[in-house]
Amino acid sequence: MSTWTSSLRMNKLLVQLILLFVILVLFSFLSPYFLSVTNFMNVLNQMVEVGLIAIPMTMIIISGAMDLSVGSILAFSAVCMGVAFERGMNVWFSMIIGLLAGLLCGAVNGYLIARHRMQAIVVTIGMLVMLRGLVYVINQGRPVSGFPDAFYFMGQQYIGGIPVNAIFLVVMFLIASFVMKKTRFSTYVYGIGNNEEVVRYSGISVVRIRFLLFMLSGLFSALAGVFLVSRLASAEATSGTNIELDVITATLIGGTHIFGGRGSLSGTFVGLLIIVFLRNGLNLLGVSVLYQAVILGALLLLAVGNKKFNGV
Amino acid sequence: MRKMTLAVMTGVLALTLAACGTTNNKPTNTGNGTNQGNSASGTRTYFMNPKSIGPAYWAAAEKGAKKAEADLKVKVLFNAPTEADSSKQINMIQDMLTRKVNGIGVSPNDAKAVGPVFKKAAGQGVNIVTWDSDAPETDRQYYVAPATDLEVGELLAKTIGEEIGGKGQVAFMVAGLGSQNQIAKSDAAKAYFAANYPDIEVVTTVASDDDQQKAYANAQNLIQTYPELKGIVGFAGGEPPAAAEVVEQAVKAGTLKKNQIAITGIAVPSVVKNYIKNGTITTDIIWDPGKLAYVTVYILDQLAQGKEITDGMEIPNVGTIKVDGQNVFIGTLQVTKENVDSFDF
Repeated sequence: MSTWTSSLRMNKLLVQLILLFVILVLFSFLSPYFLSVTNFMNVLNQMVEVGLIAIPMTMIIISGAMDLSVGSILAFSAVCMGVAFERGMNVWFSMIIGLLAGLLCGAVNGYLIARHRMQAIVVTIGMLVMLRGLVYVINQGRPVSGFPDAFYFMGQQYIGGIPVNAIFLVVMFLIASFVMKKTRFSTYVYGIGNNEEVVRYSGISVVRIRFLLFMLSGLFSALAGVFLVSRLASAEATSGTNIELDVITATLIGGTHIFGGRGSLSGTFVGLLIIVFLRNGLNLLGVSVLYQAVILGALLLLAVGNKKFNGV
Repeated sequence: MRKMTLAVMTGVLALTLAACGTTNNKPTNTGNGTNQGNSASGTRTYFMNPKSIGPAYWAAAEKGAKKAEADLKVKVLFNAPTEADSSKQINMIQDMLTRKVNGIGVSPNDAKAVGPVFKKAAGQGVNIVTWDSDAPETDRQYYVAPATDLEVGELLAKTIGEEIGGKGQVAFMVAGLGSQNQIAKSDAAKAYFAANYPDIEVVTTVASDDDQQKAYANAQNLIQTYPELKGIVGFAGGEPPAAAEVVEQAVKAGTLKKNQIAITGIAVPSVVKNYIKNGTITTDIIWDPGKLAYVTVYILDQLAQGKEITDGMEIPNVGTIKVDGQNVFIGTLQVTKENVDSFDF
């Protein structure tokens, strides 16, 4: 029985890999520019922000919750960092302020959701709206730019032909994947997603785990914000708008169950590759963004439908 | 096995959708593989990138870009994110650089954020022209705009000055008090009054922050606070219709006499059409976004062929353009009762 389940789990990843492969082959035929090192490095460079947030998002969805405030946290951190820098602070110190701002937002989410058992979706929608408003209050909607060149290293430079931020993303995925496979923490996260009561009666602090997850989400959203500022050389109030949709789409295409309990970071990574390559390929073909939305939506429906058929 | 079938089906569907998307946008799909190598001698391709896809203003611009595509026998890709998002816009520009287009026309959402990607484009020898919204201090070669802020401001001041007979109280309505283009236009208008209509007094400047509700409330406050008010100038697209609506309602309610307050400003003709027909607004100033896009494609095409852009050069179907340094101006239009029906945007 257990071998059967494990082969099923393997299979799920296999299905996603096949889908990714189909997309890659398809676009290689359709566009002569698709299959090139420059383009692939470009895509890697573009997927970092969504990818970073997808790590804690996968964990949170596995634990049976949802964080919709990530885009606003991203913008809030980016703008906090920008404003700190504008006030004459060192860029690296400003970066730490940005990260702390994200961590704080995550802590607020976690406190309300874990400690006071408020609905995650409601709390994070509240934060989504409130933080976006705060972002505009902080800098009146003006973008902040003019960071020193050393800071752009993170988002614009390459090491051995590979973008620095993509290397960072892959390392983060490897670490997180290790944590989600080998540690007790992961057992608790899956456990909470499957049956919160059982985990609680086993003497494990559900509150602490949940709190930690939302803190992580805040921190990674802030990291994404910092990398975005470095890549675009500008901290702006609109950054990260609707990014939560991309993140959740990648996670769901990656096979994570929306009600929690099942999912994997490797799946999310493949899901991420699927959506970024799809978007890049369609851009290269000159397909209007309006069709792109239709295609991406259809893909999500199919990915979810896929699961339904198999009764998973 | 069933999973495999589903995966294949998913892939096939994605393929079909992608394929139908392509054919819709790319009539010469079959020639795709062959014309890449000789893109210099074959069809030149340009990427036109507005701030977003959706608003009527950009839809009108797309028409102009497509017209240029047909007239100049080039290929124009017109695409942008669905929301005015700087990072998605830049991803798209990067993808188009990978595609090796011959030139890119951008209306940047963030003038600073496009700096690195413009530099990359310049490094690859791809010409960048900004249109509608500028990104100074970047590697862009030209900026295509309707007119300078000074000219627009003076034109608005001249229009309202003539309509109210050269004396009386005038109020300014702007989108944002901190916005550079709004400050420049309203300062130019004030300077024009000081020089030509010393009897006109600018009583106040109110800002709506691009919020239609607030613009409306501002206009209501103006007619309450200044019973002697003779004119209102709206410096952004949302202001003149708000003023006109408030004045029309006040006339209907009997608190104002018809034509007691003259209104002019910058607004899209379709939005103010009824107010112009009713006579609430006599003259409205606007430019044609389609022509703006047309000229941008034309200039990109000239640059790609190594031709020069000169002051007063004649652009077919548009007319002469004014070139001042790196700025290209196509001129503004005056919308009145006589010609309001002739605009399709």
